[in-house]
Amino acid sequence: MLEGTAEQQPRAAEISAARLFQRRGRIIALAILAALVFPAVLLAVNIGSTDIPFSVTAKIILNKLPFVSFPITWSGPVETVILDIRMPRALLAGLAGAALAVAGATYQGLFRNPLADPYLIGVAQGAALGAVIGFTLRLGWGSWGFSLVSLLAFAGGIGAAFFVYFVGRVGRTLPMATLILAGVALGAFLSAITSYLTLTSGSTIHGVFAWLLGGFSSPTWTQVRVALPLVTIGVALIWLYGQRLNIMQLDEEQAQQLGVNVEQTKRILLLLATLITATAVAFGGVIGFVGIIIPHAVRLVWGPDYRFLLPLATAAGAIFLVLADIMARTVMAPNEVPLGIITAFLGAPFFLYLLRQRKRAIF
Amino acid sequence: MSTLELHGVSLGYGQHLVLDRVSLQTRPGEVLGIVGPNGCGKSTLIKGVTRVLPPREGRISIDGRDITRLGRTELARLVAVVPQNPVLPEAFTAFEVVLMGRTPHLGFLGYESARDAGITMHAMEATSTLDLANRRVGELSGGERQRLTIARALAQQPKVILLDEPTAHLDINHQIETLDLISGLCSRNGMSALVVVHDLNLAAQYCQTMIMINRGRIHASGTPREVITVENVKDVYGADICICPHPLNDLPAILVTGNGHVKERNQSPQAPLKFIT
Repeated sequence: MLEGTAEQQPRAAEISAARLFQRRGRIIALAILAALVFPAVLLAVNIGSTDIPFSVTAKIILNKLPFVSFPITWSGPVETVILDIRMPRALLAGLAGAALAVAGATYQGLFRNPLADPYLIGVAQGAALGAVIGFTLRLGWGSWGFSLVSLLAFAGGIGAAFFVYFVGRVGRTLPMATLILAGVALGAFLSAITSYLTLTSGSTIHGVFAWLLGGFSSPTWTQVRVALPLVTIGVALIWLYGQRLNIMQLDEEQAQQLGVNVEQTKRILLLLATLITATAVAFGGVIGFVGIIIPHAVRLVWGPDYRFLLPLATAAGAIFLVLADIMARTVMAPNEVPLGIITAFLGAPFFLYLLRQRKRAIF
Repeated sequence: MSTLELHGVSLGYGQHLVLDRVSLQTRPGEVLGIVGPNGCGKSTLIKGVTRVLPPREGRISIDGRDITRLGRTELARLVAVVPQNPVLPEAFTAFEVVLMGRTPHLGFLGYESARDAGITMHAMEATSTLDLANRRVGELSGGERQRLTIARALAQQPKVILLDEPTAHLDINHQIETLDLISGLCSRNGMSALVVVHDLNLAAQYCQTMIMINRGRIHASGTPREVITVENVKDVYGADICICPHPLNDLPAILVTGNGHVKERNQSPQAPLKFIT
């Protein structure tokens, strides 16, 4: 029966708002993903080249809580491996994964471009140059618990992003296309210097190359103490901009006409995303793929609403990188595989599978 | 009191002046039609009223309040825009896109309540888009997207609604439905609409007042009968047309004569055409 298709309009009163909001599934997913971060970290702490029973791992960690004290049946080195090597490493991987995934989602939203990633405006290339300078000067470890390489990488990343920002600015506005072009151009320039320094760095070339591919081979608690507040605050502040990012998926003129202060939103989000990206790169090197793939995977499964996409990407990014880091440590133990290789090798096929499953517009 | 008032407003980009000291006002419940040839500054006018483009000189006020003294959100609660070719994110559902109209009414975190959902659904019902609610925008046709942006503007619950060629992508049925809806909403809710229209016949039927702009200046203003005249259309568009009264309501209706297709008057069995001038 084809009669009256035009008259079969549903009436507003007959439709439940809850079904249209589609919030319940996303909230449940968020709760589950957030809860899964802890077992992932626990797994990462338990697995490694030294075989430690899970009961021992659990007891060592629980002993750190107030009012808990299991009798110590393990050796001192075992406790050191768990608490001072694997634990900070798992936490750093989680923080970097969360930071890169959220920064990637933010850049994709700001630039309205599915190809955007956290390294789009030169943060990675600036950080790489800083790191390579650190390596070639053989500055080694500073006295603050993290290496000078980290410090120079952080400064290089932030510096590059600021340079791109000031070059890309036109008067009081920030056209996104100009910003991307400035980022690509500066990135190429910095990469040229980095490549030259790498090739002429002689015996340190292996360290430089491994750093560029990303990884957490020398974790310390100080690194966690620096990264934790920077990433947590940066990520939490970005979450607050979820609805504004949604509106900015319309064009800038429409966003302004809906009451969004577009220029201010762009500046704040660029600053926060750059800050957390530079933090992740400073301690983990240039880990590829997380920042572009995790936001898309979340979009494919739970939709494009940034108010949910950002928190979901935070949890998914953390879990993904913690698990990938377990692989990096174990597949060729006692040698390490750079984390960037694992993320691309495992992440890409999984993402292609997701892409194959859903064929409708995702962005 | 006028809802929207422009007093000697000039707008332009860089060196280029697009609108030169334009004054106009809309009354509550009124549909004001802006007509004029391509590039005469109609869309620039909309950018000025929404403060996307700051005026060079003159004053724009809504409900008696100078728009330069209003915050962005406050302004968005008073003025909604239906752009001509809006970019809509393809992965969002139709409902989510219309819900975006509630943005200026939301709190800091931007979460909508059931009340916002209700207003959104009524806006979708009024524009016959409610059955599209769960569809992705990427799957919708140009006309359906056009109606979604109109629904979004209605969900914004503004005092003034600015429409940039709202009927451009619509078939004749939806053209009539859309303009009926807009004029109905205006007369019922005391909202006023400023509509940029290319189709002079539609403009004559739906606008109480019309303004004809040419080269950034107001060429004529008043009722459709005063604005749509053979002389004005000739002066502004450079087109030769016939105007006859609409058989049902005597409003001016334009007839276009195709190239060389003029019948010899003495062979015509019909009554001679009545011209309004």
